[in-house]
Amino acid sequence: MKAVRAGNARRRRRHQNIGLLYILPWLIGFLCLQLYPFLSSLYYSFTQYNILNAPIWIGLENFRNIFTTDANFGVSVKATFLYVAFSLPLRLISALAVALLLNLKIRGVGLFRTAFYIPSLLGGSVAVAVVWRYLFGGEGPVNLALGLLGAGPVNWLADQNITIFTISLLSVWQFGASMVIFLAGLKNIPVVYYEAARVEGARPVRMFFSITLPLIYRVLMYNFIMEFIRSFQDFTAAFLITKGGPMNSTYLFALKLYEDAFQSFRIGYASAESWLLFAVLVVFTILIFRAGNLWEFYTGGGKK
Amino acid sequence: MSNTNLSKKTLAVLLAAAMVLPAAACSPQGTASTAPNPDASDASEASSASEEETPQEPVTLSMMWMGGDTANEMFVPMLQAWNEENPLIQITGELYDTDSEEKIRMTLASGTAPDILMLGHGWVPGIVAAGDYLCDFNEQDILDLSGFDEAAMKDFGEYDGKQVALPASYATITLCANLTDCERLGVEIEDDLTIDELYEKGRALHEAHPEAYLYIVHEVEVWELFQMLLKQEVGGSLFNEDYTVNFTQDQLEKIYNVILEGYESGTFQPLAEAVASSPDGACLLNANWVSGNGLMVSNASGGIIYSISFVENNEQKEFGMFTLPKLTEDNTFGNGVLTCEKMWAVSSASQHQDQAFTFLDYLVNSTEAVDFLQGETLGGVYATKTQFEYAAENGFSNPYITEAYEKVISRAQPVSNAISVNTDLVTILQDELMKVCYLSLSPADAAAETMPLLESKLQQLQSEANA
Repeated sequence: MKAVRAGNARRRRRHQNIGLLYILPWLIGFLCLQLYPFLSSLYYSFTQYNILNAPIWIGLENFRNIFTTDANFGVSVKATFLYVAFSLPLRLISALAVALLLNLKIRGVGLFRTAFYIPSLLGGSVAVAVVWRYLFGGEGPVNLALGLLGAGPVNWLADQNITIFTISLLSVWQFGASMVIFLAGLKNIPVVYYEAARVEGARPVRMFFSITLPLIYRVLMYNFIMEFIRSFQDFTAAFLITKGGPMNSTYLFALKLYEDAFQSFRIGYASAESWLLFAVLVVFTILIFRAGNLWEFYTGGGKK
Repeated sequence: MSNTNLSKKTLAVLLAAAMVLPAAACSPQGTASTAPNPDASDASEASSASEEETPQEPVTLSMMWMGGDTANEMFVPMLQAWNEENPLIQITGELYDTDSEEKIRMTLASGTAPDILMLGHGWVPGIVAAGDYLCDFNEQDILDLSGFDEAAMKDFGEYDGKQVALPASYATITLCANLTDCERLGVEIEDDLTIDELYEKGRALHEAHPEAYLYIVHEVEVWELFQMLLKQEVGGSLFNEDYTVNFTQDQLEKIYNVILEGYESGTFQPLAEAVASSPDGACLLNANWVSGNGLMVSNASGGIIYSISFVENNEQKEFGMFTLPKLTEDNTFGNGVLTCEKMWAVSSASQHQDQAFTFLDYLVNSTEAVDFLQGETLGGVYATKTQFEYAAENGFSNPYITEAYEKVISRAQPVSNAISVNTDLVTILQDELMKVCYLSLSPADAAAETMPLLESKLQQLQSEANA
C-alpha cells in the first residue's frame, strides 16, 4: 500500500514538473517582464530617478507634487475621462453590433470576420494615424462630404472642443478583439430560447434585450472591463495625431506619463503617476464588479 | 464559492495591474545604481597608458549617429574607407533614431555607450548635470579645435569650463520668403524686418487678399518666434542659473501682446485654421504656403529645402532668406537664431579615447570627410572653417542654407543657458502661449497665470537639483 502511495506521489511530482516545464517560458517572461518592472516601478515611485543617476529616496514627494504643483495633471485627467467617456461606449456598441451581424447565417461570414478584425491589427500604427489626419484635415474627405451636405467645414483636429472626440473615433475603429469575444458569447446562446420567443411572438428588439443581453452578460462585463482599462491606457492616437494638442485638450494621461518619463526623464515621478492610474483602475474595476453583481443573470433563479 | 469569486477578482485586479504598470518601469533596471559612475581621469590615464604602448593590435571603436537613411548612406562608406586606411583603428558604426536620448542615457549609465556619440544639443545639459559621462576636449591635444569658431564652440558644448561636446554643424532658424508670390501679391521684402514692419505688410496683404497670409506659423514656429522676441525683450536667457525667472510679468504680457497682434493684424493665419490646413500638421505642408498664398515660413535650416520643395511650381520661383523679425529697430541684443542640432562627444568610459579623438579629428577637420558627408547630412553648415570652405567651393553646400547662415551669424542671439532649455519650463511657457494663440486667454491673464507656474516649477527643480 505504501509502495503504491509512494508511486502515486512520484507520478504527481513528475507531472507537476512537466507542467512547470511547459509554463516555464511564460513564467520567465512574467517574472522578468511583468512582475519585476511592476515592483520596480513601485520602488521608483518613491524616488527621484533620471536614469543617469542612482534613484534617490524621496518618500511621498512625487505623489504630493502630482496633486499640488503639476499644472497639467488636472488637464490630463479631464482629457482622459472625456476620452474614455466617448470611446468606451462607442467601441462596445460597435463591437456588439458587428458581432450580432456576423452571427447571422450569411455566406462568406469568415471573410467578414477577418475584415472587421484587421483594423485592430493596424489601429495603432503610424500609417493609420497619418490617414486619420488626412481624413479629418481641413480639406480632408470628411469635410468635403460635409460640404456636399451643405454643412461647413469642421476643425476636427484643431478645435480644442472637438479633437478629443475625433481621436476617440480612431479607437472605435479597433473594436475587433471585443467583437470576436462577443461573437463567441453569442454562439453560446442556445437557439431554443429564440425559437420559443418567436413562437410567443417576440420581436427582435425584445429578444435582444430579454435573451441576448442577459445571456452575454458575463462576456459584456469582461469586454467592458478590458476596454475600460485599455481606454485609460490609450496613447497612440494622441501621440501620433495631435501630440496632446490643441491646448492640451487631448493630453491623455498615458501621454503625460510617457513625456514625464522619457522626455523630462523623471522616471520616479512617472512611476508615481502610473501607480496612481493603477489605483484609479482598481477602484473603478471593483465598483464595476459590485455594480455588475446587481444585474447579473442566473439561469436558476433570475436576478441575483 | 464566494472565496473562489474573491480570488478570481483578486487575480483579475492583479492582472490588470500587470498590464498597466510595466510602461513606467521599462527603464533600465538598476542601471544607474549598478553601473560605475565613469571617472574621466581614470579613463584618461588608461588611454594615456595605451597611447605610450603604440597599439600593435587593432582596436575597435564604436560610433553612433542619427539622421536616417541619408546619413547612413554617407557614414557607412566613410567608415569603410577609414577602416581600410587605418587598420589599427577600426570603427564600427550604428544608426540611432533621432529621438534616442533615452537610449543614450541608458547606455551611458550602464557603461555600454558607443565610444563616439552624436548627441542632440538639448540632451547635453542633462547628461553633464548627472556626472562625468563625457570627455573634456580641452584635456586632449589630438583633435585640433582651432577650426571651430571659439565663441560658438563655447556656446554649444561648454559646461563649467569643460568642452564636453563639439558642434557637428551649425543650423539657423530663419524666415524663408516666397519672393515670386510676394511680388504677385504686391508685398515688397528686400531686407530683414522689424515686427512692426512685418505686421504692417501682413495687414495690408490680408486686407487686399483675404485668402492670403504673410507669415505662416504653426505651434512650433510661433513658439520659436515668441521665445526669440522674449529674449530680445529681456536681453538674455529666460531663466537664471540660480533658478529664478529673468523676466517680469509685464515683459511677458508685452510679448504675448506682440504675438496676439500677429493674429489680429491678419499677418498670421489663425492657428486652428493653419494646423488643420496641413495633412500632417506641419508648417511646411500648410495649404497656403504650398499654393503661394502664404508668403513666409520659418525653418530650421535643415527644413528649408523641404519647405521650398513643397511649394507648387517651386522650380520657377525665387526664394529669399531673412532673419526672424527684430522687436524694435534699435534692439542690439540680436534677432538671429543660431542653433546646433547635433554634437559630437566621446564617452568617458571609452577605453580608446585617443583613438576616438584621432577619428573625430578626421571627421570634423578633414576635407576627405566632406567628400563622403557632402552637404545635407548634418542639416546645417559645417562647423569648422576648413570643411565649411571646402563644402562651399565644391558645391556641397546648399545655397539657401548658406544664405540663411550668413544672414544669421552676424546678428545671432547668445545661446540660452542650460536652465532655459529645461523641458518642464519650456512646456509651461508653450502651454500658456497656446492659450493666447488660440484666443483662450488674454495676454494679461496668461501672463498672470504663467508666472506662479514657472516659479513653482523652478522651486521644484532647485530642490531636485539639491537632492
